[in-house]
Order: sequence, then C-alpha cells, then structure tokens
Amino acid sequence: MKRTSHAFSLGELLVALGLIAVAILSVLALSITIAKSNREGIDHGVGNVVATQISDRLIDQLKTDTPAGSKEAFFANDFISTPYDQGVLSNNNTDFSYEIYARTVTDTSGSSLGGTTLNNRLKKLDVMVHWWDSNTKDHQGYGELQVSVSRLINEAEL
Amino acid sequence: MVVAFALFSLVGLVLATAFSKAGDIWRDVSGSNDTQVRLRKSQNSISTDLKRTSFESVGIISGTLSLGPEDSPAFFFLSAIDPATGQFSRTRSGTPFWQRNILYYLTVPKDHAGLYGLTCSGAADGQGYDIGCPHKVLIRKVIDTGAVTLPSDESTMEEPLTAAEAVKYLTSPVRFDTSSMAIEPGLTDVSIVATNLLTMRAELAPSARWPHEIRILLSTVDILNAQREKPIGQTAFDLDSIHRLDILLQLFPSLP
Repeated sequence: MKRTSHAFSLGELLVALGLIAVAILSVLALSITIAKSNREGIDHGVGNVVATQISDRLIDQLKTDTPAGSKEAFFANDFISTPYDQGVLSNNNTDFSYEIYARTVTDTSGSSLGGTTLNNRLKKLDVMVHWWDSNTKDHQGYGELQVSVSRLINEAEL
Repeated sequence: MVVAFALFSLVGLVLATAFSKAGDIWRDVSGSNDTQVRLRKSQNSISTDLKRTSFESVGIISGTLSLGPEDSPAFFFLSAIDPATGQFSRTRSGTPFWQRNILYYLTVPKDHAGLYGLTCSGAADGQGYDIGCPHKVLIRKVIDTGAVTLPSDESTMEEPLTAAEAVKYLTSPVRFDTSSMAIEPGLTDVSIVATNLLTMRAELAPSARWPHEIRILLSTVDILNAQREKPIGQTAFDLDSIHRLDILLQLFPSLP
C-alpha cells in the first residue's frame, strides 16, 4: 500500500503566521493598556491628595485671615462661575491645574443656612483638579483627568 | 523554502520585539507601582499623624549621618491618641490630652551590604543631604518621655520632646529588625513605615501664605529601571533624574 505524506502549503503557512501575529499583537496591546490604566490609577490617587491639600491650604488661610480680609471676602461672596482661586501645582512629576469654587449653602426658601447670626455662614467648597499625562504633559491615550473634592466650611469653626 | 525561511525570520523578529516591548512595559509598571506604594505608605502614615497634632508641638532636627552626608531631617510632635484604645484623648476642659511623642526619621539600615548585596557610597546634594543611597527606611517611633503618661491622670500629660532628647532616638535598625531599639527609654512602639526611600525634607511654614503648613517632601527611586542604566549606590539621584519620584505633602495640623 502506498503511503502519502502531506506538507503544509504556503497558504496554510500564511494563515498560521497571521494568527500568531494577531495573538502577539493582542498581548502587546493588552500590556500597553495595562500600563496606561496603571498610570491613570496612580495619577488619580495623587490628584486626590493634591485636591485635599489645596482645600486644607485654603482653610488655613481663612483661619489665620492671610492676607488680611481674605476671610470676609470668601464668606461674603459666591464663586460659582469665576473661581475664588486658581493655579498650577506640581507634584509627583505632574502639573496639576486647580480651581476653587465656593457658594453659600441655602435652605429650601433660599435663605442662608447659617441665618443672620454673625460668623455662622456656611459655604460649600469645591476644588477641581485636572491634569494631563504625567511625564510628557501631553495627551497620552487617557486624555485629561479630573478629580474634585467638596467640603462644607462653617465660619464658626474656623 | 526561501519564502518560508523569510516568513519565519519575520515572525521571529516580530516575536522578539513584542517580548522585549512587553518586558519593558512590565518593568515600567512594576517599578512605578513599587515606587508609588512606598510613597503612599509614607504619606498615609505621616498625614494621619500630623493632622491630629498641634503645629506648635512640631519640631525638626538634623537626622542621622549614615554615609557621610545627612540622611534627612527628622521631625517629632505630640499625639493625643491613647495607644491602648486608639481613641483621641481630651482633658476635662476639652483640650487635647497629649499621650505620646511621635518621631519620624529616615536612615540607612545597618548591614546594608548584607541586605542589598552592594555598598552605597554617600552623595550629598546642594543642601548637604544624601541622595546617593535609595535604600533608606522611614522609621516611626512612639515615645512616652518623662513620667509614664496615664490616661486617667491629667497631671501625667506628655511633654513635648526637646531637640536634645529627640536626637538620642535617632538609631538605625539592623537590616529591618528594630528589636535592638526596645531598650531606648520610654519607647512604646517602633515600626518601619516604608523601605527603599531616597530622601525626605521637612519644613515649618516655608511660605508666609500658610502660617501653619508643614511641608514634607518624600523621594524614592524606581530601582528596577534605574539599575539598568546606573550603578545603584554609586550614583546621585538629583531632582532631574528620570528615575526619581517625589511627592510633596502640604499638611496642616488641625489642633490648637
């Protein structure tokens, strides 16, 4: 009985190589995605730290009224469309841009929650922090990231 | 035959490149994670403690000199946390009932060569602090100085350490073993908060805008990637080094 042996044809070889290439590139793409997600997660953590620090800084300024008159200016006005303060803070190899907004907390009738009692005004503070990719300060796949921290500030507690 | 050989060569090349690239990415992610974990552990511990103290109780002193240049400044402050219950203690008048002093400092562990298999030579930066050894450990000590503080007796309230007293507690662990520190007077707890740190800075109110700010700068090195380019221990990691990572903490103690 005659035995026949079959070799791979060029077509079969090309299909096999194509499949291998797709598999390799998929693994590589996955690695890059993991790296970006990792970086994004780290940046989010540092962004939160920065936002908290900015709000702590503001409270210290208000407590000590530095510069003089800043406490009254903060509690007497609302900063809803125009920020109370803004700037750039560098940390962890990243430039974080921030804006501080504040508005008086009111009840359902629209009156100040602290009423008219002296030194009892209540403000809701919103610190918005946003930044681009860490090292290159450029768009690196996950775009611009943002975190915000909110807290209530009672004048009486300062 | 020639076509098949060319194709396999091509695939081999792509495969090798892909593996090399994936290896680089893994090293970047791993190195980045390690450095961030070290910084976050230090940040969490220092932030938690400093936010529950009084600005007036914070003191900064010169640190250890393990390799010639100063390792980093050390800082200490009062804590009102009762170590037995973990609760914040107050006096009958409502003011903090100080229970302990807490001391933080950075130092190079003893038997460094045995621990890491290499020797670090010191390299001072412009301010005289060592930026050559990325193997420093952050130590946190809880100290009950003077008479033993009893949570039930306000007359035993903890007094702030003086700089001269604090200096005596700046000792280095043997590798990561802190048991030799147990004989230090009044030491009630000691822990290594983080390892493989490069340097630390501590300043009180460096800016007039924030009169109660304590500014801490923590630095570490991505050793996994740095060692591929530079001999660790023989290189200074200054602020421009791409393998150095810094985190700046602006902390504001909340107690009067």
